[in-house]
Order: sequence, then C-alpha cells, then structure tokens
Amino acid sequence: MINFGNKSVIFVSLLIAGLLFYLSFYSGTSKEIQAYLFPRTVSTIMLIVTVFLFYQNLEINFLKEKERLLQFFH
Amino acid sequence: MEFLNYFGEVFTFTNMLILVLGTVGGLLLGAAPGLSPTMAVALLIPFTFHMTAEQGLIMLGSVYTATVAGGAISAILLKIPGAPANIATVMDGYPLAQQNRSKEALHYCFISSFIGGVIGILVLIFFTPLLANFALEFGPSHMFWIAILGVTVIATLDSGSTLKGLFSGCLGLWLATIGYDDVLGVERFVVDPVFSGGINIIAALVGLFAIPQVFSLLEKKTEKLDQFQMEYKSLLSSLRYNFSRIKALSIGSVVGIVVGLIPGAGGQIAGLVSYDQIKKLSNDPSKFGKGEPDGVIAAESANNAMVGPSLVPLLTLSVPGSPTAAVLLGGLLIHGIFPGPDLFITHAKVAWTFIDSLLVAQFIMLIFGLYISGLARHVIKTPKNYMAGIITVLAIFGTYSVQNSFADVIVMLSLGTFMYFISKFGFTAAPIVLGIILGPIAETNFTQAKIIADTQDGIINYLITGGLNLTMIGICILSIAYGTYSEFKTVKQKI
Repeated sequence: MINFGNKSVIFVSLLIAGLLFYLSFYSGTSKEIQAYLFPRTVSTIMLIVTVFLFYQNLEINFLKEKERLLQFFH
Repeated sequence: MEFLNYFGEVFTFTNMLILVLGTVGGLLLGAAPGLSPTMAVALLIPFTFHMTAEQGLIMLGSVYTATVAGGAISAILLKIPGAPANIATVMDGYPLAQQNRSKEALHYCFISSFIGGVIGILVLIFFTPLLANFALEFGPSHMFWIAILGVTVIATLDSGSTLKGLFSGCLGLWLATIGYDDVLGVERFVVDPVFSGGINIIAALVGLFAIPQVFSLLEKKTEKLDQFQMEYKSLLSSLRYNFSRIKALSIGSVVGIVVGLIPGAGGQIAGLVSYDQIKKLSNDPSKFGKGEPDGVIAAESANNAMVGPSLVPLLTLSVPGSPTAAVLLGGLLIHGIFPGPDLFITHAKVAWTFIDSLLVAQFIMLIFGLYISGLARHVIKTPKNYMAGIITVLAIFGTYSVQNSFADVIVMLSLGTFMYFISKFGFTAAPIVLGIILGPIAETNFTQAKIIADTQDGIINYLITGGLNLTMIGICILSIAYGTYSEFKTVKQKI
C-alpha cells in the first residue's frame, strides 16, 4: 500500500485549497459577490488549516530533532 | 408513548418483508470483510429512492443495525472485523473459535447484540422527543452553528488527524456550494450543465465510500484464511449463560449508550471502551484475550447499544452520532425529510415507524443471526476481487437508477477516484460527506442570519451572542483543541 509523507500532504492540501480559493474569488454583480461569500470563507479557512498543517509538521520535525540531539549528547 | 401509536405500521406485509430482507442482507453484508455498515448503507440508499419514505428508512435502519452485528461473524471466525465496530470482538472471539467454541461465541455475540440493541433503541424512543422539544426554539444562528458543529465533531473524531479532518469537512462544505444558490438564485462553479443542480448527494455518498474501498480491495493481496468447524452448542445453555453475565451486559450497554449520544463517536469506540472497562473490573483480567466470553458479550452489547442513541442527535438536531448516521442523513434528505426539531410534528408517522422498525429489527436480527451464522461462513470466503466487482456494479447501477443520469455516474466515479487519491494522504470520507450534506443548511441559515442581523447589530453580534450560540462555539473550539492536543501527546510518546 502506498502512503505519502507529511510534506506531500501539505503540498496536496495547498494545491486543493489554493485552487478552491482562486475559483471562489469570482467578481461580478453585488448579488454574485454576496453569493460567493460562503465558498470564499470556506476556502480561506482551508488555507488557514493548511498553514496549521505546515506548522504542525515543523513542530513534529523540531521534536524529532530535539530528541535526536538529546540522545546524541547523553 | 406516541411510539406505540405507529407500531402497527411496521407489521404491514411490505414493511415486514423489507425489514426481514434488510436485516438478513445486513447480516451477510456485515459478515463480508471490507464492507463496513457505512458503506453498506451508502450503497443501498439509491435502491430506496423509488420506495416510500417509511419503506426506505426501514430498509436503511435494519441494514445499519444488522451490519454492526454481522461484522462479528468474520471477527470471530477469521480474526478480521467485518466492521470497525467489531474490532474489540476479535480479542476474545477469535481465541474462543481457536478453542473450537466458535458457535458458542456467535451465540453470545447475537444474544448480547440483541440485548444492547433493544436498550439502545429504548433510549432513542424516550430521549428523542425530549431533545426535539428543546431544539424547537432554535433560530437561524443556532441552526448555522449546529451544521458547523456536526462537521467539526465528525472531522475531529473520525479522522486520525484533527487538521486533516477539518480540511476534509471544509472541502465538503465547498463542494456543497456548486450549483444554484438557494437564497440568491446565483449560479456558482457550474463548469458543465451536469452541475447546475449541484452535486447529487447519492452520487457523492456512493462515490466517496464505495469506490475507494474497491481500489483498496484490489490493491491488497488475497490471504489464505483459517476457518473453524462449527461445534454443537445448545442455544438454551448459551442463553442461560449470557443472561447470567449481568456485569458485562450492563457495562456494554451503558458504554454504548453514552458513546452513541456523543456526536461523532463510533461503534469501534463503544466496543473498545466497554472491553477495556470489563477487563479492568473483572476478578481475573488475565483471562481476557485468551477466549473470555465476557469480552465478546461486553463488546457486542456496546456496539449495538450505540446504534439507537447515535440517531438521537441526528433526528433532533441533524448532527449525526456516527459516520453511518451521517450517511443515513443523506437517506432522509432524498426522501424530502429534513431531520430537526419539528420532525416529530411534520413527519411523525415516518419518524415513529422508522424508530419502531429498529426495535422490531433487533428481534429479527436475533432469530436470523443465530440461524444464518453457519451460512455466513460461505459469504466471508468470497475472494476480494469478486467483492470489488460486486461493489462496483452496485455502485454504478444504484447511482444511475436514481435520475437515469449517466452524468451522476461520472460524478460518482470522479469523486471516488479523487477520494482514493486523497485517502493516501490521510484524509477521510465521512467529514467530506457531512460537509456536502450540511453545507446547504449552514449556508442557507448563514444567509438568513445575515438578513436578520443587517436590521439589528450586525452579523458578528448576531452569531456570537446568546448562551446557546456560545455553548456550540465552545464545543467546536474544545473538540478541535482537544483533538490537536491528543495528537501532539501521541506524537511525543512515539518520539
């Protein structure tokens, strides 16, 4: 079974969120802009979640590195 | 005692036939490894489309209850849980089979499932009207937060990662905006006329749950499986022993009810928690894992006791108690029934007939479960590639038959392939499905709330003030925070 690593997860999330964010920023009449408010909000939240995923990945890598160094010095 | 008024509806010839077929089919589907209750219900939804609302829901409800119990057959005989809810059953069920006590284990499994199931449905009967009366006071802002709460809770509990679950939930909410905006009548993201009506719920349900499973079945190698011969065991002695295990039955039923009432938790949590509790409270915990009947009794009574209560938040607040309940929500919507506070007023007959049928389904499940345990041994031997073929045919035929639309089949296959691809990155289907189902509810109520708020203090004030709004926002934040915290704790422990 194929399973991808953390970096590729962030890349795919960014790709999906970015595409949906781009599609959601359709500008037209004021009625259309209002109708796009919900997808715009949702895609923005998706981008924020992707940033958090990236931060979580950094944090995990930091913890792993810290543990490796601690073991090295002990 | 309103439920008694509609009991007669269950016993009409057609409804009873559907109930028996649904229960027997559910037991066999549950026994087949790889067919979870969620997927079985999703696959059957298209076939209920041409039935009346009562008949459709009776079919889906009986399949839901029976697949949870049927999953124990392969758990006991093959050490492969037929459904995630049966993971805990493997721990003592399989060792019992190894000791040539497989029939005894199956007896305990169906008797305990019956007891747990009946207690769970009684909770559903008595709790639902109470919660529905309370929920009648909900306005657009509350309904908006309920939809968001449903997506958040499923996202944080069903997925291995809270952030990935939230991402999936948002993806579902975004997909739900394809098509015409209900309030403003504006067309959005309609790249092809196929999407003008939005994404068909059935195509989404079947595609997201069934197609990735087909790919997974094909990518795994077929293993040679051990099987045990059935010994002779008197049903009467099993019944006597089972009813004497009051402690295991009580722990299983109570844990099942509590877990079921928590939105988002599933059968596997109920089974594992009750197994853990009975082991801790046992006089001799060392017996567990080596063929202790109490392990099977507690796990099976818990996962079936969870079924009824998991429908309480679904029927009263539209917040599903489990991933399968989320799929059932799709089944209710295609019959034009929107669960919520006024369900027992506007669709009292449908709602009570459905609940009553679940109670009758427990009795049918007990009778047929004990009888067909032997027959199910042949079903669980079906090679995986045959199973994949059967699922594909059912998925295509079912999706096409709803609107006689080939476009729906294309949408179903595309969503399924996309789901299989993103499942490799750890994203799960349940939050996406719930996002698609609850998306229109969230958006419509958000727009209505905005219209009301524009005449008052503005949208922010309208959405975040009031005790009920704040409670729901608090639960959303707490479930995300707790999910992220537990993940970090697990990662730290692993490192």
